[in-house]
Amino acid sequence: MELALIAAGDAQALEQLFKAHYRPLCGFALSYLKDADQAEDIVQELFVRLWQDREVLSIKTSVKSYLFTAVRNRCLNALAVKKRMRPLDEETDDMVMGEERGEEELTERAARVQAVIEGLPAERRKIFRLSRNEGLKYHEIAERLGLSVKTVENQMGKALKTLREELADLMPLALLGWAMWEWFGSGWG
Amino acid sequence: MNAAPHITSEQLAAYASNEADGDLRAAVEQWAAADPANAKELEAMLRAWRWSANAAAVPDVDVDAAWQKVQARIRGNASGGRVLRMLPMRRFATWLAAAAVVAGLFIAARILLVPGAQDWSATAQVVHTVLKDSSRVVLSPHSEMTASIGERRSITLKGQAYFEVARDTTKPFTVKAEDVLVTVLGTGFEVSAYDTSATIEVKVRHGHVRVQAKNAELDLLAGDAASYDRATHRLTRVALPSSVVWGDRILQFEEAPMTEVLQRLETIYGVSIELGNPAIGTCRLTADFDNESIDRILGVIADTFQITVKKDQRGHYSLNGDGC
Repeated sequence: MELALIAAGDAQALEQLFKAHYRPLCGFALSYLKDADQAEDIVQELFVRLWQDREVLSIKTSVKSYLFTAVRNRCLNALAVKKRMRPLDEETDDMVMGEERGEEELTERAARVQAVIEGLPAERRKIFRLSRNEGLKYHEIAERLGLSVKTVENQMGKALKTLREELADLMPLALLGWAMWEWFGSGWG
Repeated sequence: MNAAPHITSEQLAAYASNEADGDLRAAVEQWAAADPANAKELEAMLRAWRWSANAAAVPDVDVDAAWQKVQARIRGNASGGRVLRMLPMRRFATWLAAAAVVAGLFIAARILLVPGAQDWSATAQVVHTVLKDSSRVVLSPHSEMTASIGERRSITLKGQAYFEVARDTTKPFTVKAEDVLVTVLGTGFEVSAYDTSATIEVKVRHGHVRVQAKNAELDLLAGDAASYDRATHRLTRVALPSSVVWGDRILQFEEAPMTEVLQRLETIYGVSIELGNPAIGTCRLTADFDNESIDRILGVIADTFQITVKKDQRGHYSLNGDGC
């Protein structure tokens, strides 16, 4: 739908798409690149390309998953270029395949977490950061932002619930197995 | 155990973040023990909490500024989105125009001063300069600036200037105009501190700046402006006007009435423009012009509102058509 409008040359549709996803995509890219300017550049570049190629672009998945996949690929390319440009003696070529893979998964997960947080409404995001990353107590957050403690509690609940839901597919399979066991179990009970 | 109370995600978040008191902790644990589905929910929430541990330190992303950059690029603005703009304050517009007429130099007065010089001043002309760190400055008439570019990039300003700051997060860029200190966190902005004005104004074209004055502090993003009152020492956020001239030849119109647009053009380009049909004056223009010629600008306006432009030999223009 959005894409059809964009393909038809509707710049407003592009703007909406951009504004809806820019922040999460930057958070996502930042986890890979560790460089905020570069992360923003990559996401902006993607949208410029999306517009330039709008008539020939065919996207089979959802727009959202297309954007995230495209950003991830661009980040990995950028990292590969960076790595090639690094002086040889810094190369750690003794990295075991398995380790690298594990690291990749961790990076992907960190990037997803970052994207979900960046996608939270501004106030909720601020509250969550103050609690999670700056270690403030609820009452301190409430004081700092001029809110009630109740609001902070409420926003924290919503933030954590969003994280848990958006990251559900990354939760270990053991949990899924358990969930299915639960499902059948309750059916019999 | 089925009597265990229902536990909300709010309570689970409090539990995860160590905000739960003894009673709530006990209730959550009792709830989890009562049903494996509850245990799974608790486990998933705690996992989400753990995973978010290192998600700190995302710098502020300015979505609107980023969109403007993308927009500039998809519109094919050649210079890769490096836009240079500046605005003479409204109350000074007439005064500046007068100065321009007297000096006859307002148009395209470009002087690149000797590199390494620390002080700049503009008398009747606009001065364009590039600092050692590649930041660009457009200094308005009757303005003075001292720049010290080293580990810190410190500017002291009297009068008005527009800055396009070269990005270097390790070397803070600050502009001091009397009581007002502007710290640059992004790129293009203007400071207007003529001592004949009751206020000191800061306007942001794109990027992000922090303005401090006495005990007040404001963060400004693209399209924001702040005004500091010299008498009351109050710093307040104000709106950008509908027509803005950044630097000397970059024009930004946002739903600006044509009468206002034409006045601006007459002042800046030293031409006279006449309306064949007064109804054209009520059309509202939204457009950006980056160092375009007057012929080209009027051409765009003509296309936009389906009117015609006639130019006589003495640089006198007339617009004809139906209006809006």
